[in-house]
Amino acid sequence: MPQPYSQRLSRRYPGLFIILIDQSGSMQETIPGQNDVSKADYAASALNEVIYAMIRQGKYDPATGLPRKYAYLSIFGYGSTVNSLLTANGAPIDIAFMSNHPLRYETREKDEFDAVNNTWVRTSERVPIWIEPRAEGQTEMAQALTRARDVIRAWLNAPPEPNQGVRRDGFPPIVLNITDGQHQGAGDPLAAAREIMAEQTSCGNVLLYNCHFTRDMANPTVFPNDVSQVAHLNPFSAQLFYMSSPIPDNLRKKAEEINSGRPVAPGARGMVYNSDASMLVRFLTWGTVGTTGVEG
Amino acid sequence: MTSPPIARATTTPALWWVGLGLALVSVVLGLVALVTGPVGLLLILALVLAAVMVLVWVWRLLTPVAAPAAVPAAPVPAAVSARPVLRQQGPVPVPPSGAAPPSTHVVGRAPAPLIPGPAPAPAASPDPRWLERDPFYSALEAPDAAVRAFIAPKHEADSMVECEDSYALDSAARRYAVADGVSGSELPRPWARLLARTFVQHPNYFTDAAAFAAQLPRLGEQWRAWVTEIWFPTLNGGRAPGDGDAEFQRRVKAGAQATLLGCALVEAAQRPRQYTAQVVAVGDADFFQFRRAGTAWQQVATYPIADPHDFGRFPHTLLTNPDYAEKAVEWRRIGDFPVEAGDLLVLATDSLAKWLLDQVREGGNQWQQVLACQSADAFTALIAAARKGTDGHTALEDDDVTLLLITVPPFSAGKGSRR
Repeated sequence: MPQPYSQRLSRRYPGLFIILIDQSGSMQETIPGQNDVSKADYAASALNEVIYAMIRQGKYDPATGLPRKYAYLSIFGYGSTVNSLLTANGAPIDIAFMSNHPLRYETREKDEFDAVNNTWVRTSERVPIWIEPRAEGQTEMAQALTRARDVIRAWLNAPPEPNQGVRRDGFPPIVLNITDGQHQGAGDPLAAAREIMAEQTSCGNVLLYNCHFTRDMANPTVFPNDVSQVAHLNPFSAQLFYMSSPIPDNLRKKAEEINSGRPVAPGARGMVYNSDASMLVRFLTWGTVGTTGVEG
Repeated sequence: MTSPPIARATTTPALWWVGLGLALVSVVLGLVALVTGPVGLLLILALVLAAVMVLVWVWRLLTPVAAPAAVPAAPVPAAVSARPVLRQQGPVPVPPSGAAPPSTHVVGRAPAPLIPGPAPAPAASPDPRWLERDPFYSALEAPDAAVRAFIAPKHEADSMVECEDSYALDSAARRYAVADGVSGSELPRPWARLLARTFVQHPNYFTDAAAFAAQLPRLGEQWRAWVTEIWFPTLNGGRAPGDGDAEFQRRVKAGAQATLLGCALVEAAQRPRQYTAQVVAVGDADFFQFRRAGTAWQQVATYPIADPHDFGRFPHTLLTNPDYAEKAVEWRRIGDFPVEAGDLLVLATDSLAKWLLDQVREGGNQWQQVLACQSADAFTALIAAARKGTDGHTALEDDDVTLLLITVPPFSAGKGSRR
């Protein structure tokens, strides 16, 4: 039997990533010093960046000309309701399909250094957009987690596509939850989280990582290994701790990279509290393309 | 929010009442005209008009407006925000100059998903079998009495197009090469084949350092030409990538990577009419020399990796990206091995090479069977068994495998025998 969480993502054993993004009314708050940029804008932008990075990680399939199908994605936004942002029914969609189906493109300007002429040059690039920002209503987190659980169960039990291995033999699905607050609504998020983490493949249990995203830019608490490190922050922070999977041993090294090289203790949870915008991007990247290697 | 739809009385009785009202008004007006004359009539008309307006106003107030239940709501964009948020230079976004209005977020309606229905199948590509006819994917030289060649994709069910290894051989010139395309690079198979084929045609491009540094960028150029002029237009209905396809250009520049192991039998400098195996390696494909010891084979030499623990995840590779040509000269390993007629030379890509080393060390018996293998079917069966790792021996890793088995021929002063 292979070591837990050692399976790399490949076209034969693709991974499933489910991203839950808080789209409640509070996400409309702007970031201090950035009057016209809201938390919802940041979160959507970070998501688009990570989707693009996942696509770029997949090398060309010589037979189709599209990136290889090494990963599937489902993205849900939750406010007063839980909405699938990719497919109508929330079914996962592969990154090859995502690669040539953006919602739209956006042209961005950036400064690049021209080493030949020793000067900065303003260039523009066209970047694809899949997710639009949104903020509305309550925070139905428990419902969102339950949707994720249902998607995971259906995907793991579905027959694989041609030339894919049995899904229960691949790297377990990963759920990334991004929130700016706490659950407000029906159900119990902790119970829903435990149901997710109880699902498994032969390589390990499903991983649920949580990122609490704030406008305060306070010192983030990254990958705590004891609830006492976060319990004083907010009544909800201890709950989020127990809702987060312990980081598997052989993935801890990668986790240290996003933690600016600081060591990540054994048993540390896949959780960031009071994340700023930069940490949010690093968290998402780590949770998707950075978690395990991609074989192509 | 919106009120629930409320049923309103149908219009037919209302029309009745209007008709009746008008008839009554006509009768009253006729009587008034008879009594008061034209000025009084005008005064009365103005009063009646005012009274009707007041009645209409009161009627509207008392009647709720029904929601248009039968007409579906028009789609509303999920949100409006077309401004750049995160920039390349750093993770913290900088709002563009010329303060844009604060972003607005639609409240109340569910956002439309990216794809309204289930994900449809991607647009049909050309039959992938066209690749099997492409010279970079097919046209591998046929083995012969002196050389046996086997190649297999990572999984038995995969088509050979999925295999990222390649090889080349020229029995008459006694030159052989295997190359292992790196999965994490773009379109590595044609690059692997190009490198192996070029070694067989021009071994001096690889053995001579100056020639190597000069030729490698040209080979990279050939790979790029194939990708942009053959592969991409074939998949895209003849459309050539324009400057706009920035992502395509980025991928082409990042390019392919492959390891290479070449072996040429040349006349030994100090041993007239004997061969030396001149081996060139970049990366972790491995060369083995075996000699008969009774009925079994005995390992004489292994190069460049002799310890199975030295196989890493990131071996040195040859890149199509010309920026790495100088590094490649540094990474190149060259070794000469005196050989005798009847020796068995083995060129194997990394996973199989590691497995062979493990087997020899662990005293397994499967490696002798692999060296004796005579047919593709037998090879497939042996590989399947090796992947299971029977008898407590280390299993062969899931990977593409390529194996050349070369029986050193008696010396002949023919083509290619000189250095």
